[in-house]
Amino acid sequence: MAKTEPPPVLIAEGIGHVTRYFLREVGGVFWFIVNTFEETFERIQHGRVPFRAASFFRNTERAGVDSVPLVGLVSFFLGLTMALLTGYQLQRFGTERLIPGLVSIAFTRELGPLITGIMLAARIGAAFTAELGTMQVSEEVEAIEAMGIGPLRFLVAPRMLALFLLMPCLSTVSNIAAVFATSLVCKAYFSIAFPYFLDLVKDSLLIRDIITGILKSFLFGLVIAAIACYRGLTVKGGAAGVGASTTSSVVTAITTVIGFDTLYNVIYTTFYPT
Amino acid sequence: MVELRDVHMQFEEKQVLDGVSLKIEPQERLVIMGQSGSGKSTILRLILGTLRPDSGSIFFKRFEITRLRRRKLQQVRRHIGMVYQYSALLSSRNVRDNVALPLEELTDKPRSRRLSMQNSSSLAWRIRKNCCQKSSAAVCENALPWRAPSCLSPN
Repeated sequence: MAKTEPPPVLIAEGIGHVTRYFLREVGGVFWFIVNTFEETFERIQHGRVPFRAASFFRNTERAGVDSVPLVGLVSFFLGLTMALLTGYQLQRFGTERLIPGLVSIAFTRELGPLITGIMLAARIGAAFTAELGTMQVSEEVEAIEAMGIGPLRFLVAPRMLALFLLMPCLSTVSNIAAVFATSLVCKAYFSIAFPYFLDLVKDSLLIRDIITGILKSFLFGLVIAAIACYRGLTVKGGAAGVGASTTSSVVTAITTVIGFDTLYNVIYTTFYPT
Repeated sequence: MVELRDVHMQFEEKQVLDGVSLKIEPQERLVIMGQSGSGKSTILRLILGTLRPDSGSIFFKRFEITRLRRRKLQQVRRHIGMVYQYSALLSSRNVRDNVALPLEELTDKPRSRRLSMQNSSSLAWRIRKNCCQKSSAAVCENALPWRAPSCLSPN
């Protein structure tokens, strides 16, 4: 029996629903960030600290210090693999001295922030969503609101600031780990000594590349924290809701980070084509 | 002091409040009873402004809760005390920090001074007792008196 095609009206309706949901979510996250800033600065204007320093440092430790081994190790292995794979191809043309520049530029501009962003979205984004989601379903967030305390500045701002400030540091750790792995491969397989390796890296790497990577990292940190906290505070439906929101948070954050990265590159290459 | 005028509230398909009106004067006590899901907590949340009604108006003193902006609403909430059924204490903080939270956030004095401002000997005893008994409802009661809420809503 032949399958009947869905009528065009239903397809259009489906597209409409998806688009509306997407726009509502984008708007939700955007206003969530705006309201967090507003609430935080209002508090500062009144001469009060917006959140406890201990809360900020606890999140900094969780998001930053505790993530260093993971980010470093994964970037080290990726740098190793990349140097090996590109090295053998370049060796066929006698241009293996391009490996240090290739890997360092790729990591500093692109892979370092991107991989760090993906790892933090999975590791810290999920933790933020689960934590705030549990607080939401156990009425802790409502209790904070009931006391007249702004939950955005009290709960979201320290997390957002921690991730915003820590992302560039972790991206730098990722870059250093990858470049270090490349130096080992260059020494072991392609007979490039470490001082010469450093000269090649310095010759190929531009300040512009470093700044690009750092700017991206700041952006990714803000986006990941905002999505994770937004999903956490909009949890509905008890424990099952927390699980669903955590999954959704990780998927949304990773997709958004990759999307923003592409957008950033498109804009960047438009203004700086070389 | 608290007034609800023709309040309607619907969660998806379910009509929870259908034209509810009530008025509570100062010093008056009102008990709302009903089956589970009949909208008792919803009324408290509407008064607190954590939920917005589909239609109707809610007044607390001279403020219309449904029309207040976020900042003003936060100020008004400081005059309303809410005791939750399951206490809703911050699980990541110990008893002392839970009691100190509103003091830290809503007053200007240093934390140690603020805690000693409360009748400290009685408070310290009660906190120690709560720590031993893990009774969180009593911690809520401890945290409330300093705020002297005009309206207390036990859920």
